[in-house]
Order: sequence, then C-alpha cells, then structure tokens
Amino acid sequence: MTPGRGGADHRSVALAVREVGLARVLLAVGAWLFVVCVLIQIFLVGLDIFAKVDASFHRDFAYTFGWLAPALVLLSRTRGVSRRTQSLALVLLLLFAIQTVLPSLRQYLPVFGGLHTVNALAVFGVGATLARRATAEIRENPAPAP
Amino acid sequence: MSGERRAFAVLAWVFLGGVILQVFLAGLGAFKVTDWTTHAGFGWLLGSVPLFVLLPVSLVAGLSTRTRWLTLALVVAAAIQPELARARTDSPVIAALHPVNAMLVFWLAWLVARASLRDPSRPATTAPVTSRTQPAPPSDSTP
Repeated sequence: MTPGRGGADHRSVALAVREVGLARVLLAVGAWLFVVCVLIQIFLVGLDIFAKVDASFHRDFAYTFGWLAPALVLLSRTRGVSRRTQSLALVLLLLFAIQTVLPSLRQYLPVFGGLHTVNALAVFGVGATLARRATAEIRENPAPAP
Repeated sequence: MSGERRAFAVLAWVFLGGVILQVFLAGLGAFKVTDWTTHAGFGWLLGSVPLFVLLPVSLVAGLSTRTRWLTLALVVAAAIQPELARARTDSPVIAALHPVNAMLVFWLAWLVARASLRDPSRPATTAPVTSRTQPAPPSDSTP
C-alpha cells in the first residue's frame, strides 16, 4: 500500500467514524472485545481444570476486562442506539456483577458454584447478542437522526 | 406447523435445556460439590442427540437450508466435545478448549432452537410452477 493510499484510507475511516458516531463504534468494538475476553476467560478455566494452571489467572483476568461492562452501558446511552441494545448492555452489567459474586456465595449454598458456570453462558450469550446488535445497528442506520 | 417441524422444535429446545444442565453439572464438578462422573455420563447421552436425533429429524422437517447447516455444525461441535476432554493426558492445552467449545455448542443450540420456531415454511416445490404455468381459474368457475 502506498503512503498516499494509506492516508486516504485513514481519512475515510475517520470520516466514517464521525458519521456513525465514535460512541456507537466504540460500543460495537467494545462488545466484541468483551465476547473475546469471555472466551479467553473460559479457556483459562479449562487450563485450570485440565492443565492445573493456577486458578488466580482466571480470577485476575475477570477484573482485568470487567471494566468493559460498565463502559458498554455508558456507551450505549448515546444517540442512535436502540432501547433494546441499551437494555442488553444493562443486563450484561447485571449478569457480570452476579458472576463475580456467585463463587463466594457457594460457602452458604454449594449449588451457587454450579450457577457460576450457567451464568457464564448467559454472560456469553448476552454479550454476543449485544455485539451483533450494535454492529447491525451501525450497518442499518449509519447516520442517526439529530 | 407440521408434526415433524413441531417435533424438531421440541427436541431442539430440550437439547438446549440439556446443554444448560450439563454446564451446571460441570460447575458442580469444578467447585467439588459433586464428582465429574455425573457430568461425564450425562455428556455421553447429550452428545449423541444432535447426530442421532436432531440431524435426521431436520432432514424430514422441511427446514430452511440455513437451519439444516446450523444443525450439522451443532453435530460437529457436539462430536468434538468429548474428544477434547479425552485429550487431557496427552495435550492439556487442547483439552482446555473443552469449555470454550461448550460455549460454541450452547450458541449453536440456541440458534437452532430459535430457528426451529422462526423458520418460514418451505413452499411445496410444485406450487409456484403450477401457479405460473396454469393461472387460477376465475372465481365464477369454482363450484
């Protein structure tokens, strides 16, 4: 790629981001990043169970990417984002908060340990749905009404 | 909705419920509430459902091509799942993909279950040809 062409590409990307709105682009990118982090997090559980890797990696990584959940809620409160997508971001934050508490609750009721993995399915499912919806809304309605 | 379509929808949703139950059993195993035998035993039963039940029914239920491909993908993902767990002695890192693939199985099961209700009915293959070549008789000719 020539430097001139690259410059044109950067300008077109910048123009597209301005048209769509930076917050909406960040919402879609952030939601996909969240889904990838959830999959890495689940892989770390697998390493803990099958390869006897320290479980602290799994625990610490949750706090590393966990800030994305409240950030997605804030990003969803922008013009052009549908009410349903905003609700999904809020549900994701709620599920993620529950997820961090469930392991410590198992000392009161062991069944909460099992619910930690089931809730992980919900976190993954809602995260993936949010990412798909945020991307689809940008495609369908690139320039939201003022 | 035909009987086959209804059967497929019921089976797809029951399978999704089974996947959630299986993940719950994995959680109980991981937190040492129960041992892994329940999860492993139920896994063998559940893993055979897409291949021996869902796929054959999907072929006769008149589903869309997309839903049949999704069912086939579910068969493959479910078939890989126990093999990943079995790799734990030789290659634990590959075995660590067992829970990641579980997410894929869950996602595909969800898509198949949803599609089983939303899939448009496939039109009979002869109907459009007949209507194009032989226009419907005028209403006054019908008895």
